Amino acid sequence: MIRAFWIELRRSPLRWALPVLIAIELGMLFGRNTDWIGVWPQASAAAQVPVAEMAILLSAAAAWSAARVQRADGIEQWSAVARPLWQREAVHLAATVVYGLIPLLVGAIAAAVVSVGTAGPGFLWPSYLLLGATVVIIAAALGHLAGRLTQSWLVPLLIGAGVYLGLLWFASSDTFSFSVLSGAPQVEITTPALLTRLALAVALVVAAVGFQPPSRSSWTEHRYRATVLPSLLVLLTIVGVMTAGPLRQGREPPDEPLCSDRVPQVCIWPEHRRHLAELTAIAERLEAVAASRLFVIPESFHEEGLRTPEDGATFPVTLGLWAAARGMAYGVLNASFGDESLCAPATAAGEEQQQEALTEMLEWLVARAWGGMRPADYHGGFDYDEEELRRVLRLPDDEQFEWARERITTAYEATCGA
Amino acid sequence: MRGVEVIIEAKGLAQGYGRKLVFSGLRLSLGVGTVGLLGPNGAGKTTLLRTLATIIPPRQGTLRIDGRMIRRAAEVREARRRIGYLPQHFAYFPGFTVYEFVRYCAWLREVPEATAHEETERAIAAVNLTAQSGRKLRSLSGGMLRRCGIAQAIVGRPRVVLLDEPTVGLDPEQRLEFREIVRSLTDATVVLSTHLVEDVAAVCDRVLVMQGGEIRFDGTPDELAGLARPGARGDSPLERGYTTVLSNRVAA
Repeated sequence: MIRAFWIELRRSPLRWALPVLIAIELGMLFGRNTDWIGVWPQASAAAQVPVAEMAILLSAAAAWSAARVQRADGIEQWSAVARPLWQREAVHLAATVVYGLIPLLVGAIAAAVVSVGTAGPGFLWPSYLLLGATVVIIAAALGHLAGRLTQSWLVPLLIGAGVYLGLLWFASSDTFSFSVLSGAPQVEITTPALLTRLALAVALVVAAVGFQPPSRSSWTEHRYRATVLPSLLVLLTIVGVMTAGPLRQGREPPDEPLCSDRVPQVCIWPEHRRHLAELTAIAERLEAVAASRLFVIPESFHEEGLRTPEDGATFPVTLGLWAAARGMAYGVLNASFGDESLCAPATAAGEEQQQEALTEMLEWLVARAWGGMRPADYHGGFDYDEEELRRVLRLPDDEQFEWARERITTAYEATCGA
Repeated sequence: MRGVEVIIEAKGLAQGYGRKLVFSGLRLSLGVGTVGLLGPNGAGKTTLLRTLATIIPPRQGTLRIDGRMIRRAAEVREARRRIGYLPQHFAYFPGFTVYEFVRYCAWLREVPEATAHEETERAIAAVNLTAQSGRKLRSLSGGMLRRCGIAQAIVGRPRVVLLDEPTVGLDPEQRLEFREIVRSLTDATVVLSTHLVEDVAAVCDRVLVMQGGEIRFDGTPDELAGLARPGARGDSPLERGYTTVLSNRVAA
């Protein structure tokens, strides 16, 4: 069996696809943002992200490879051998799966290598890697099954596109998604969701290797079992996936989050330890605006998930440090001008005036916290005059504070002075 | 020379496709040796080989391979370990090397792992492909491919070797090589289906002539040649005997 497996491995057409698969994995891993480096759950999820794209090529190549007997017009020849069909197909499919898992493994190793120096205790989260492996197995099994069903040259194209579109389609579903885009430490893959997806992958493998092509032979008395039972198994596991609940759920916050020893204090999930120094610096830059006596700086900033916003200022880290700075600036704004101090404007014009003033102030606070303008790779938020903000940021602190005081006055005037 | 031990035994064998019956009530008893299966197109030669290869179960009758009755799937699997089959259209994986393909076929035949390597090399040597062992099948000539097909059929030394039109497309030299290979298969029952009477004369010690799903003649090549009527078509006594059998429907 081992020897046959090695032959399959050596002669699989997927060996030609392997460099491309690895390039996809590493290209997507390092070609997008690299904020995941040094954060174990993020690195784990990042290694898994390219699997959806790899699945296109993997399923297509699996279909091509699985159709080799039909392509060689060898169904009859191969039906006269002693080795049971499922064993032949299992060895063949195993080689295909290995070629799908190698890029994932390479990506995981690369993610671990670049993270190990900064991530601190812990390691890659197996659940994300298992999720990626599950998608690899599903894609390979679907491709293999499709290739065995028909040898049309269109099948690899169709199955590749179908698998990708399916993954995209299900990605928007909370209960039926098979991939994640990032691995915030606040959430984790649930065991039932992972197990049911693995069960689905196994069921598809059983279907892919057990399928009996139509033939006249009645020696194979178990054909109905080989076709009907795997189909039922696949259906059952699909129901299992749909009833297993969301793919991920929130994690219990740690008893002792990782906190800075400065004021204001910054507390984060331990997995985000590599960001603590930068986040502390952001908080300290915000603290500097306290000199204006215009703002209330919270005593502590907590990363999302460690406490609720009602309990105090929270900020996200998963979306990047600029987003974290923005979250902290929100915290300052809320602490300074929360609902209790700002009334609802009486008119639409007043509301617009207040909103504009608050937006300008927020963006100024964010820029102060961040130490500059918004990075080019961050998008969204409210519209504001960036040139004006650049001009203000070049002013001495006391003039900036005076500028901020004017915005505050405008906000209050809009609220209560109308 | 006919072997004493019966390796293939069929009684009342019937086979067909859909409503068409190709043969029925067929009796066959073959021992060690090379049997030529002659007959015109549609005589039922390939159907008989496919039945003996257990690809299609007989509609009626019994089949024994190497002393074992073939009825259920488990018995079929057991029998297939003892059967080597080279169909008319030899299917192969072009990306495999000769060694890999034959070794893979040994695995398919469930040749014991401990001896599979040795048996593979032996089969490759038997068809004179040792020098090409590391070459991919896509790079082989038609004759070499046929030899590789025979190697996969004989790997593991099966008791039964079924060769369906193995010399089709071979040039004269390749056919001579093929005959040498078949002559070397001394421990098995080799059933060689062919249109080429001279191949039968060269390598077979027994001939079956099929026509219309019936075995019209069963005997030695010399006996078949002896049946030749004066004026029968053919360039050799054997060909004339063969055409005589077909035209006169001489009973076996």
